[in-house]
Amino acid sequence: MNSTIANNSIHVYCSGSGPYCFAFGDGISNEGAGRMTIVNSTLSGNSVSGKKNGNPFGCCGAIFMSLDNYTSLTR
Amino acid sequence: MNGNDSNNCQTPETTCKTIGHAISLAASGDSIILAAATYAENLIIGLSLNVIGSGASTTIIDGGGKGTVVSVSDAVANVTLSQLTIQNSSPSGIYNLGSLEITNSTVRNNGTTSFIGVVLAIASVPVSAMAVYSSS
Repeated sequence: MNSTIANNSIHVYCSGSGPYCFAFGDGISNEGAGRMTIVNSTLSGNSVSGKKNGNPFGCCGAIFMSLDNYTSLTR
Repeated sequence: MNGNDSNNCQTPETTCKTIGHAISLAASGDSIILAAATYAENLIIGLSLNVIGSGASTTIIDGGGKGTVVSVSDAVANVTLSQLTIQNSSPSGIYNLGSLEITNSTVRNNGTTSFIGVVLAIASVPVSAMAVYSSS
């Protein structure tokens, strides 16, 4: 079985509560400086959803990675 | 299998009830073996550790929609999660600050409907930072 990322989503709508309105949610947040490896695994149904007045903005569905790290998806 | 958190988690006869308690007793490099069950827990792992389930379909860590399910909180921790399912968090199923390997597992149905009133500095991630490949 290969690793699978499927059916993850972001549906966020927010505005009007100041300059910053941020929603986030995800399967995995990887902010480590070390390596993250995903082997033979499944990420599914991870999502952010919400609605607040206006423009869509949000993060993340399956995986969030910060700068300077390394994520590997492997069979 | 019925564990008890007054046990020392060292043998099949002295199993613990919660993963969190086993983590609290673990030393760096230890392995925690999970019996097939649904564990309603939010775990913080601050040391190098192997968490091994009995299969992704039968060993489930469920966050109950409250907080992150598994957090690797130490930058020098090397953690492996294998043969288990992590589900039902808000916001993240797994939050990793260390080195993490996820094998033969499922991460599903995590996310949030709430809004966070803080600013996160999110930089764009270069494509080269992510590799997708098959080892076969």
